[in-house]
Amino acid sequence: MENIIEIKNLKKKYDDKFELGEIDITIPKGVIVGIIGENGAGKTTLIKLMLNIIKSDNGEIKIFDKDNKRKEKEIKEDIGVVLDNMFFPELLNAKDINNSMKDIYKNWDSKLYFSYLKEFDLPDNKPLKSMSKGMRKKLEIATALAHKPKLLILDEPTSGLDPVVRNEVLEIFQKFIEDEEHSILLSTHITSDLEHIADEIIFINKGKKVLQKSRDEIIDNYGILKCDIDYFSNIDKKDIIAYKKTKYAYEILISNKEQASKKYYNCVIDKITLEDLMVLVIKGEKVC
Amino acid sequence: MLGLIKKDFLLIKANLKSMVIIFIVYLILAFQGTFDVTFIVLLIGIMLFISTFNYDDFNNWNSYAVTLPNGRKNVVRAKYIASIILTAVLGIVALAIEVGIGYAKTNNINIEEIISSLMGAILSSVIIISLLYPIVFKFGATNGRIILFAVVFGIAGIAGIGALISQFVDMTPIINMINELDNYVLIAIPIISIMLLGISYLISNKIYQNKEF
Repeated sequence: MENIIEIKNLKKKYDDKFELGEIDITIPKGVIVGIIGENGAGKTTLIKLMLNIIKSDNGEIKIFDKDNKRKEKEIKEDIGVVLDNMFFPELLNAKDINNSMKDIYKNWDSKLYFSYLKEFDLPDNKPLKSMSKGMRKKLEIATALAHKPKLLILDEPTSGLDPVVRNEVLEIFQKFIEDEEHSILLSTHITSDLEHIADEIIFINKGKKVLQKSRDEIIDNYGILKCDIDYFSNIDKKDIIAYKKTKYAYEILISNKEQASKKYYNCVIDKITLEDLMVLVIKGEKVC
Repeated sequence: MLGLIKKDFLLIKANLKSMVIIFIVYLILAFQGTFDVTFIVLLIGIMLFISTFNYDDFNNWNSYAVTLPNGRKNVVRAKYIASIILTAVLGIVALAIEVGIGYAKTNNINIEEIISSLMGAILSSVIIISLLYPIVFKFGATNGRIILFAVVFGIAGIAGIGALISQFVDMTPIINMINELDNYVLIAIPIISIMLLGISYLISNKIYQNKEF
């Protein structure tokens, strides 16, 4: 099994307002894949389709090389899930969650679960409603890890966490994939998190996949070319993915930094962040 | 599935504290004879159990529960099985209380009467569960209850019309039939209960399998 997730022709329509797809995605084993995109782009819809929380209109999803509907139970034994909304009943405490989960997952490891609670500094006897949002998120992450899954599917797992805890969590994610058998798929608004840990980036815009590339490829090859207004007409249209006009200059998204630096030697080329990429593709203008 | 049953009972346990005062009031009224103890005990059970649906909805539990292994099937099964366990346990509690009251008051208990009132209470619980759960699975806990009220009023309305008709039409054969049924209550009620719960479960299951969260 080379690929941990294979999605083909996936489509889901919500009345007339939003449509996801058709989308094809392949995710190899042993990597952290980050899904980025603005609110309402379809990140959560995609994750919900993978987990069968909602039903697709068309297409096929394979996880661990198994159909996600026909082999649902087997697949779900090996997936750890964190959803974007908080989902544990707020009257329960962390001990209660252990009590129920140990009879839900075959591989549930109570010892491991309580060791995560300790690591995250979480109380085990306080009802969830008295915990902060960040604490509840950490509890959800601990729960997702405690049955030793092969794949984590996480929707906004770091939202609401302070920078210190976020780093702790990101370290745990990195440890999780160390053995190269495990993989993580996570969606996030906080694109800087992905710059630290993601191996691959999937960018979704208006329900369509606009880009899937390795992080290194994006950081090494993509860039923002800055030129003044008069010079803009000299730029080859083929080189422009998207552009934005500021007061005195143009900012142009390009995908081949090295070539561009030779071609347009009197322009400045800045390094790109995932945030720049997102903003330029979503808000920037296209040439053709 | 056991995990999901446990989760509901843990929720009930956690919720119990906040409802203790209501129970005490009801139980005092029941001991005084204002209400029937058996009915009250079972009614409290159902109220507690319905509150688990409320918490599920309020905390987006279902969208997570369906991501668990066999989640979609087990959520529905667990709700029915946990309700049956709760009804059975509370039935025994109610029986014990009735017997206790009987001895305390008169030192002489009519076990047949107690059993028949217990069976009546269990049947009422089963009817409420069977009607309510598919509605709640379909429309959510809050809307579900509103719809249930509508249904109950509807049934009361039909019964009212029935009573009105009975003034003009001779209902003796139907009443005789019901009285006749009373003799078979010990057999009839469990059979009717199982049938109602079975049908209700199948409908709920069908609804939940196709539901999106």
